[in-house]
Amino acid sequence: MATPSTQATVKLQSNDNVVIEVERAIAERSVLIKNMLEDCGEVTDAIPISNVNESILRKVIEWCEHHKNDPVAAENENDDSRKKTTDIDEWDQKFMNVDQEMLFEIILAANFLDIKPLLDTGCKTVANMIKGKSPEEIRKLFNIQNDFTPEEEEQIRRENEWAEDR
Amino acid sequence: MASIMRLPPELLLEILSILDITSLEESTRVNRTLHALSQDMLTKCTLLCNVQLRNLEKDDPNMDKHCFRLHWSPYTRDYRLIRRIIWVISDPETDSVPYEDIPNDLTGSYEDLHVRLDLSSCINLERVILDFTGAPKMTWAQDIGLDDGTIITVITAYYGDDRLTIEGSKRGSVFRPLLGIRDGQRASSNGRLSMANPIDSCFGDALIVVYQPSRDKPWIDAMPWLARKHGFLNPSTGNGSKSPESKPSISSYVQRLCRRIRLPFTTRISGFRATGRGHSDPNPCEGDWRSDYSTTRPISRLPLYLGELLKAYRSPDFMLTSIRLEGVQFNDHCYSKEDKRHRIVGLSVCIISQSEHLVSLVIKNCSFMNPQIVNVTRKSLAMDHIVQHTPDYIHMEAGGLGNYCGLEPYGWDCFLTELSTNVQWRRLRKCVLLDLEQHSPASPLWQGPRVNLAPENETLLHFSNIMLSSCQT
Repeated sequence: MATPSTQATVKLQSNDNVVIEVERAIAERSVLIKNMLEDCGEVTDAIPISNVNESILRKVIEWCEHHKNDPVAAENENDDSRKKTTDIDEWDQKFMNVDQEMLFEIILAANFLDIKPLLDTGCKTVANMIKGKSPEEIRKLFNIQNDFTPEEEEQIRRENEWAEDR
Repeated sequence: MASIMRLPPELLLEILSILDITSLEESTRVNRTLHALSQDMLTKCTLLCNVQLRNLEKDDPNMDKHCFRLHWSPYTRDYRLIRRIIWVISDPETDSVPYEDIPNDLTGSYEDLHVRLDLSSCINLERVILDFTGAPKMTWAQDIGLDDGTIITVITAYYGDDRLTIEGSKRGSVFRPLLGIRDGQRASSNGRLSMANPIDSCFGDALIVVYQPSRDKPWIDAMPWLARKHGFLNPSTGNGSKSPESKPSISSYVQRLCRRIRLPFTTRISGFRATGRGHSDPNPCEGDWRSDYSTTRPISRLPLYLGELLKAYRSPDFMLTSIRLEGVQFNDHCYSKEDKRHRIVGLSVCIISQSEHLVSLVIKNCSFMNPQIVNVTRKSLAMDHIVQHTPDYIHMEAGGLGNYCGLEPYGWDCFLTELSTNVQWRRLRKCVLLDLEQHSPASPLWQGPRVNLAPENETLLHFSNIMLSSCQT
C-alpha cells in the first residue's frame, strides 16, 4: 500500500489534452481520483480524465471548489435519505442553469468521477424538469423521438387509465 | 439539440427514482426506453392497497366499480391514492356482475386490504395526494366506507400543512363524512359533534382515528354505512355477513392496526378546522348561545379522549421528544357510566408522562370540552372507583402532579399550573402554548354569551417561559 501523500495539488488532464492543476482536497471530492491518489501515493503526472472535456472538467472543478468543505457522505449512507427530496441548493440551481448539452455532460462526468452529490444535483435538476409535464411536453423538452406504435400507445393508455378522469 | 436518451439506463433510472408516481406514470408514455424503465420503477413502488366499492342500488345497468389504488414510493416518499373507475356491465341473463373478471389484486377481500396496509410508512411523506377527480357524484361517506381508517389517517397526519392535496372534491364535503356528520346532522358550536362522538383514537406513526361505535341503536340508524362496515371487519363473520345480534364494534380493527405500527418519537395531532354554516333550524334559546358562531372560525376540532391520550403517552414504548397538538378538542369526561374505560385524567398528566423525554411541546388552537359538565360528571363518580380502576393515575396524582383527581374543575388553568409546578422539564427547548379555548358554560341551556375562559396568550407565554426556565435550573 502506498504511503499517504502530502501533495498539495494534482493535475487533471481532460480528454482534449488540457491540464488543469487543482488542490488535492478539491480533486478528492471525486471518489475515483481519491482512490487513485490513495493507491498511487505521490502523483506527479497529470491524471487523465478520459471521458471529460476541458469545459466540463472546469465546471466540475468549480462545483468541487464550492463544495470542498461539505461533509463527505458515508459510503453506505441510505440512498433513500438523499433521494427523498428534489430540493436543490440555490447555488447549485444557478450552477445547473446551463444548456441541456452541458447538463447531461455534467451528469455523465459526475457519474464517471464518482461525485455522488454532484450526480444527485444533476439528476434532481432533470427530474424537476420532467415533473408536471405531459409525455408530449417531455418529448419536446428533451428531444425524444416517440417510437411507440399506435397499438403500443393504446395499450399504454389503457395501462394508465388509473390516473385518468372518466 | 441534446437528448436525455444519451444518458445510460442506470442514470435514467437514477433520475426516474426521484420522480413522484404521477410523473413516473407520465414517463411511461414518452418512448419505449422510458416506458420500460419507468414501469420497472413503478413496480417497485409499494402497492399498499386497493379498495373497491360497488353501488348495487344504482339503476344504471352499467355499474361502476370504484377502485382506489394506494401507492407508496420508497424512493420519493410520495404517497398517492388514485381512484379508478372500472365500468362493469352486468349480465342481462343472470343480472349478475362479473366481478370475477377483475384481477385478484383488485378484488382482495377487505381483510386483505388491512393485512397489506402498512401505515408505519406514512409518517414522513413529503406529499400526499388524495385524488378523487373521478368520483364527482359519490359522497365520501360512501366512497370511503370501506377504507375510512386509512384515509382519515392520512388526512389527519397531513391536513393543515402543505403536504396534503385533495383533488376533485371540496374540502368541506371531504371532512363532513369523515367526522361522522352526514346530511341532516351538524356540528355543534362548542366543537362537539352532534353524533355521540363516534370517534376514538389511538396513536402510531401517524395518528389513527377510527370510529368508535357507541353500541346503541340510534348510532346504527344514523350511520348504517358504518354499521355495515362492521360486518366486513368482524373476524367471526368472515364472509361479511352480519348476525342480527352482533353489535358494532371495531375494536378488532383498532387492535390490528395498533399491533402493526411502531411508536414514534414524535406525535403530531392536528384536528380539523371545519368552517361552519349557520344553523337552519330554529334556535330555542332566546339569547342564542351560538350567536358568535361565525363562518370563519374553527368549529370542529379533532376530539381526543384524554384517557386514550394517557394510555398512549404512558406506554413505555413512547419516549416522545416532540408533541404537537393543534386543533384538538380534549374530551375530558366519562360520558356514560358504562364506558368506564375512559379514565378521568387531566391533560397535564398525559404531557407530564413524557416530561423526561420532551424537547418540544406545541399546543395550539385546542379546547376542552364542557368543563362544567365534566366537573359534575367527576363529582358523580366515587373515589373508590377511580382508585380501583386507575391506580397508576392515582399514584401519579399522589406524587404531587396534581390533586384535582376528578373532583375539581379542570381547565387550562389547572393544566398550566400542573405543568409549571413540580415538574422538572429536563430537556424542553421549545414550548408553544397559543390560542387555547375553554368556553363555559358550554351547556346548550345556557342563554348568556359564551366566554372564553382560557388564559390569554400573554399568560400562556408566561407559563411556557416558566417551563422552559425549569429546564435550565
